[in-house]
Amino acid sequence: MDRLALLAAVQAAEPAAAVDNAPQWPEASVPLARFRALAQKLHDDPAFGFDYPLSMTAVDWLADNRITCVYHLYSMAHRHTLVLKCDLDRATPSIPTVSDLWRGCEWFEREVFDLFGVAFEEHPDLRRIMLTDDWVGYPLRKDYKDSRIAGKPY
Amino acid sequence: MPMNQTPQSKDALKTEEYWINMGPQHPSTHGVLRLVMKLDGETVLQIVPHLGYIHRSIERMCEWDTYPQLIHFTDRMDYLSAMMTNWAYVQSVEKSLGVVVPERAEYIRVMVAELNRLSSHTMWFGAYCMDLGAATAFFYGFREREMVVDLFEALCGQRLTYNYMRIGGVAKDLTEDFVPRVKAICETIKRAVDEYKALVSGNVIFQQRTKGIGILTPEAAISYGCSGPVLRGSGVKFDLRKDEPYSVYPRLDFDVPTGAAGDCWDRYQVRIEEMLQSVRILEQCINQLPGGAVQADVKAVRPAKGEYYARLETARGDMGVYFVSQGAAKPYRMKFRTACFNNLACLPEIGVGWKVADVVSILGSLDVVIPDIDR
Repeated sequence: MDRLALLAAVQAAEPAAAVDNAPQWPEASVPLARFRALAQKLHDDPAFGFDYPLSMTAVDWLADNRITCVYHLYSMAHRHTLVLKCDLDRATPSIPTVSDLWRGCEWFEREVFDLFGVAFEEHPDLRRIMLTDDWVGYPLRKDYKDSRIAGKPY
Repeated sequence: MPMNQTPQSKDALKTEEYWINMGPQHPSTHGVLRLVMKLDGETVLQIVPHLGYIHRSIERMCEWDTYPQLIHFTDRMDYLSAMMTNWAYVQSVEKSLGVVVPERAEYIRVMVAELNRLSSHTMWFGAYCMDLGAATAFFYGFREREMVVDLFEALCGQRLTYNYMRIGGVAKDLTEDFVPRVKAICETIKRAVDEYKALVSGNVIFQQRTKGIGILTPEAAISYGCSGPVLRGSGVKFDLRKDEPYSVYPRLDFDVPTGAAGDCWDRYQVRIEEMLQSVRILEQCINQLPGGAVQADVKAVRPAKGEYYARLETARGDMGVYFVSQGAAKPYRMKFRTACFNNLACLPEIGVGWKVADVVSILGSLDVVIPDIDR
């Protein structure tokens, strides 16, 4: 599917999504309530064929008081890419897991949980992955302060 | 047991499951990786990898520095293919700036990347054979790797963390003896691969330790986001150099070797064949190498507001660099998607049901570099 057809198909699959023909790859921003349903369609529908979890991460928009989860999905069959985004409330960020659709997302989500403090509902094994279990705070959040670091640590 | 008693059958024996630690200091984990394994006798029932022993929070550090200052962080991730992780990063910044890299620099990048792939695969070959108890092969692998590493030392002063790529080109032009030395390396590798095959591939013990062990199905490999030789070993013909081409790879003729069964043997074979393909690429690059500048004129590095993502095939697979720019001299958010992170994620699935010694074989065949996982 070329990018415009892909955007139209995503829009048809989820009318609530805001699609954007971004310079590099097509993007779709979806409300939290519709996120899981759209992810399921993108994975299951052979016309989309998104079977490969290219990347999954989050961006902390401190000024806007939101955390955006960013999923880069790739299709081995069709060789197309879609950037799927979902905005979360920064105070209690929580989003359904997609680790049952893309198994690679299990560790991606654990990393985002560890470093951003985003909870993934129904994740099979939601523990910190990089830091120790008793670590306080989420280091990739923009307002993270560590008493051992005063400004730039080196 | 007294002589007059017959041994009990295994079913009648009372067995008990127990947990053991493999790592974080264990020679076969090639770094500080800890695997907690549930065993029944010698059989592995469950594997729980524990990561993060060398987590340095590179992504956070990247938010503190300007774009040109970040290059050296990237070669401290996958340090065995540092040229390519450097390249992945500078490629993402070049994309954001719209910089056109001089042709000579592109050829130099392809050459050092393929040389780095050779050094990485020869080292992996040695280390993997060592994991399986073949100590001699270790020295064979390191012998060829040394030639490449010496060449890199002459080129950029470093043997491991090169920091050779620059935004818009490379740090400096090739040394005068670079091309003859590459030719010598190509000839050596061709001869060496024959030796590897005679020494190891044909060895019955090696084959029994790898064939049919740790089977990764193509569906699982894709679902876990595996890439590189791990993905191709499972029979998925996917190589970013061919399928999402970058740099001058479309002008070069090479094959993408794949496996069929997805076992340790196939992953081994794919890497052995890849060495010969890298030699082919190098020989073509030598013939096509143009003259000219090696560095584009890059003024202020301030990518326009937006998001950028670059993909590059390192020796271990798909390296992705994703960053969010706010139009400043420093990135707002920098994310490195590294191949080993996803390649290791499949271990809890494919390692179960095998003996402890097979887990060593499977882990070795995945060729993980721990700093690449932990970042």
